Amino acid sequence: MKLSLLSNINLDSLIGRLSKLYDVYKTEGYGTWIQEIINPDSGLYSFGPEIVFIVIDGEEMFKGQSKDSNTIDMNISYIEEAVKNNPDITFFVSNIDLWTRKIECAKSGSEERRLEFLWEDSLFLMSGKYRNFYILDLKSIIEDKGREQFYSKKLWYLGGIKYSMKAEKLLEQHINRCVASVKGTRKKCLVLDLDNTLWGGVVGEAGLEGIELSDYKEGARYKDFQRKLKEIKDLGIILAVVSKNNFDDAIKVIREHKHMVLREEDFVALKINWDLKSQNIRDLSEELNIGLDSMVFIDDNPIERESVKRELSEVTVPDFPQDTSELVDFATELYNNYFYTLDTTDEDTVKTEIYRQNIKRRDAQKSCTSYEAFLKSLETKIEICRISPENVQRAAQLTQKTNQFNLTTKRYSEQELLALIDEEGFEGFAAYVSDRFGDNGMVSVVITKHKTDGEVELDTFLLSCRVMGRFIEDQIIGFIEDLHKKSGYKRLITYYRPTEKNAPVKDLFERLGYTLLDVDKAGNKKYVLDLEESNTCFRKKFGELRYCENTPSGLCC
Amino acid sequence: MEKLIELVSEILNVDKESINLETSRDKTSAWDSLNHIRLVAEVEEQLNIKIPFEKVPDIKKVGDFLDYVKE
Repeated sequence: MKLSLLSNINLDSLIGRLSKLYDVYKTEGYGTWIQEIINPDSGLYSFGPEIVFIVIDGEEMFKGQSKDSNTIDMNISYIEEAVKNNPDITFFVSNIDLWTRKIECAKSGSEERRLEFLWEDSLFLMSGKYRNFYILDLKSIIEDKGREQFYSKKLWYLGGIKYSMKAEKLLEQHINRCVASVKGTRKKCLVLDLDNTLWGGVVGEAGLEGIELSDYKEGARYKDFQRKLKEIKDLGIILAVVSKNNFDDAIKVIREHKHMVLREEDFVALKINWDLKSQNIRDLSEELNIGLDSMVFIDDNPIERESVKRELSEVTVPDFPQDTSELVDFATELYNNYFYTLDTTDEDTVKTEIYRQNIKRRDAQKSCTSYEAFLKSLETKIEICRISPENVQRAAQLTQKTNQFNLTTKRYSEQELLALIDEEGFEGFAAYVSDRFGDNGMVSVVITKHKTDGEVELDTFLLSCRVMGRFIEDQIIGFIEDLHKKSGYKRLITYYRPTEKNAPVKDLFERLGYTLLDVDKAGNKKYVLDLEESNTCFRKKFGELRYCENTPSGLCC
Repeated sequence: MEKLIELVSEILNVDKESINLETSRDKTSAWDSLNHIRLVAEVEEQLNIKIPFEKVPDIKKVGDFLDYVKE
C-alpha cells in the first residue's frame, strides 16, 4: 500500500513509524503540502499514492494569516482542487484544533471555536460532494486524550515536534483503521453470548425480572452496551447470538424484557442451545456462507473464549473487559479494531434482513422434496442493467469483497470502475436478484472487454455468496453471450485465476460448456465459447431474467 | 530496566540483544538527533519520569536514563 502523510508541521517521527507498515512518500520539509497537492508534476503524484492523509495544525495554518474565513477558504480551495483532479486517490483531511491560551476578557468570546467550526463545515461539504474525500477526525482524538497529553511542549522546544509520543501512536492507529477500511478488510459478523454479556446475571437462575438490564445504575452497563452494538449493526455488520441456555428462557428476555435494545429481528440467527459454541459458530458460518475469518466472537467466559480460539483459530476472539463499567468503551474498541466503516451503502443498512431471508430459504429448502423443486418455488427474478454512477458504489464494493465466486478477483475502487466503463471497449453490467422471500439487491458484476471485432473477453465475473448454488450464473452468462452474439461477436473468451478462496468456481466454465484453451502451472485457465455454434441447452434456468437498458427501473434503482 | 532497553530498541529500530546500558549515542548510528528527542519523550511518557529540558543533551548513553528513574 502506497500512502502519503502531508502536514504543515513536522511529522517525520510518525512518518517513520508508518514506513514500517507501508510504502510512505517522503517529503522534503513539511511546509510544502500545498505545492505537493496542487502541482500535477509534484513528487507526490509521481510517487503515485493510493491514499493521501493531510494533517493540518490549526495554529500553524493561521500563523501570519488573517484569523478569518479567508484563510480557511483559500486552504480549502487548494484541497478541493486536488481532490477533484485526482479521483483515483483517496484523501483524508484532518479537522483542526486551536488551543487558545490567550489572555482576554470574557466578552470577546472564542474566535477559535468559530474557526474550528468553519473548517469542519467546509470539510463536511466536501465529503458530501466527493467520493474520494473523508474527514480525518483529529479533533476527536485530541479531545479523547486531552490536550495536555496530546501536545508536548518539551518535544516542541527540543525539535519542533508538536505531538507527544502517545499522540503519535493514537494517530498511527487511526491511520491504520482508515487504510484497512479503504482496503475493505473489515469483519462481517459479530457473534454474541447472552448471560453476563448482553445482560447481567444468568437468566436460567435469576429469571426474566432478575437479570441486570435497565436505564439506570447497574443494569445500564448492559443496556448502553446493547445500544452501541445496535449502532454497529446499523452500519451493515451482522449480529448473531451463540449462547448456552434454555431456548425458552433466553428468547423470553429477547422478546419481552422491556429494556432489551436488541430484539429478535436485530440478529441474523439465534443459536441458543447446549451444544459446543465452536460447533454453533461453524454452523453459522455455513448457513450465512461467510468465512470464519470474518467473524468476531464475544463472550464473558474465558473458558468459552479459549475453547473457540482452540477449535476455530480463524475466528477473532477479543478479551472481555474485566470491569463491566467499561463495556461501552469495549464496543467502541470493537468497532474501531474490526468494523471501522468509511461509508455505508443502502444494502448495508438492510443486511441483517437479507441474511435472515436467506436462512428462511434454507428452511424452505428442507421442506421441498428436491433441490430443483425448491429452486423453482423461489420464483427468482433477475434484473440486469448497466453499471452507472448511480450504482457504481455497490458494484465496486462487490469487486472488493467477493472472494468465493469470483473468476478473476480483480479489485476495483469506485473511481477505477467508473473510469473503466467510460473507456472504449469495456462494458459493465450489474445483476439484481429478488425472490418470494425478499430482495437480495445487487449480487453480480460482469465486465466485458472488446478484443477484436470477433472476440470479446470477460474481465470480471462474480456472484455474491448470498445467492450461490442457485444457478443464477447460468442465466447471467447466457444473457452476456446473447447480447454479444447480437452485436456480431463470434467468440467469448473467459478466464479462471485461482486464489486461496475461489476454488468453488474452479470448474465453472467446464460446467457451462466452454472449451478449455490453456492451463498454466499456477492453475490459470483460459476458455473459449463459440457464440454461434455452442450448445448450452443443458444449463439450468430457475428464474425470470429481464434487461433494463439505459433507464433501470424497479430493482435497479 | 528491561522496559528501558525495550523502548530504546523500539525507537531506534534495532535488536534488543545489541543494546545494553553502555550503548552510547556517538557509537549508534540510528541514535540521531531526531531519535534522541523521540527517545527522551518516550522514556518520559512510558516510565513516568521527567528529564529537565537543560539535561536532555547530557544523556549520552542508555544508562544515563537510569539517573532519573532512581531519583
